[in-house]
Amino acid sequence: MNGTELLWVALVRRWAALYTRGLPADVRDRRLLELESDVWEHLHDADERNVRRAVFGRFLRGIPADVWWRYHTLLESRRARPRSQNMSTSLRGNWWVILTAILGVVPLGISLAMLATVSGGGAIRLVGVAGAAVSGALLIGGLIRRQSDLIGGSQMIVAGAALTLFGLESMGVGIIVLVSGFWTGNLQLSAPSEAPDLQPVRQQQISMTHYWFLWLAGAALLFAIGWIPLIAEGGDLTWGYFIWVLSWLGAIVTGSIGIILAGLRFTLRHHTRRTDAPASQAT
Amino acid sequence: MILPLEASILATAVELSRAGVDEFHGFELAKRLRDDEGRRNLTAHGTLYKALTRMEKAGLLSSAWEDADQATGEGRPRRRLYSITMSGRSALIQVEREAEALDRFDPGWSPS
Repeated sequence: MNGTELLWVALVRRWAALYTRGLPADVRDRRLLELESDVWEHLHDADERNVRRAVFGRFLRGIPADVWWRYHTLLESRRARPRSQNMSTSLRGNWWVILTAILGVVPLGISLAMLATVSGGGAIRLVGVAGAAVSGALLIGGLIRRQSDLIGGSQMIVAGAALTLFGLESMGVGIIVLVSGFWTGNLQLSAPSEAPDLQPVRQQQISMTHYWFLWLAGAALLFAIGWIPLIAEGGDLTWGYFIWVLSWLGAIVTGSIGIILAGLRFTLRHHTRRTDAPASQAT
Repeated sequence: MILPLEASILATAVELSRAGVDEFHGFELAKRLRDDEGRRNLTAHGTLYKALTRMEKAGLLSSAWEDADQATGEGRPRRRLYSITMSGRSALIQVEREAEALDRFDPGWSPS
């Protein structure tokens, strides 16, 4: 093995060690041993002409699948555990909860600071103050709700973090909360066993609206992109103007879809609970 | 439901089985898949091993670690050996039938 090949192999190993960290020991060991075997076979394969390129290509192209696999493995392992064990796990992984709680205060602080110090600006200032306050409230509220309703709380946190992306001052908070939350598996957004008392058709209707917060997150991202030409106002504003208009229009459309889906979800769940209540009482 | 990637893996497993290879490991599968232009993207580490795990859970494949002594004797890490199950073969037959039916489908008009 030459120097470059050693480097790629080390990179594959490092990445594998990173994305299997914190996973159940049997799952982690299996993935690491399989990769070790795969890379070894690759390096010793007589038919391989460009080993470096092939190993690097397979490693690079698999990164999104690795991250997705990690997230789902974390969710599965947590679901399989008894609730009491999950509680102890959440205490062990409490650093994320503490971090989110601290970061959740930041938008609230920004909101109060804007209210107290910034004068003028009219409606735009009010929207900024309200947005920061709502995002902070969603982050803190989501943490509290997460204790009794893991998915509902996680959705609130994602929505709150998405809202912080609208503001340049608070953007970092949302990015840190989202990335660390998904990486540690603390943000659990899917639940196959959710609402088991619902009728299948209704459950399907609800699952269609399940990803309302992702639309909001998309809107926030587009909105954040719209800031870029505004920041770079010293540059050529012809292209900047188009990017700004397009991204903010996109944010309005995407955000509206998110709000409609959230409303539908709430209505469907509320309706289902009301219509199912007499039947469950009768039995 | 079988995903296209899973169907490709099952088809490759059957090809290997016909060639007398009943058990295969991840790299061997990746090598076979890579030879097919349309399947090349499936050989990425993350994509391949995620799919293999999912298929094993679904009962389409079974797997076991090879004998440690054999690997030590050959001076290499142990391989995880996969083989296609009866459910996997049935699933592949069903996928192929559906694909054939789709090919035969005649909408009754053609964009001329």
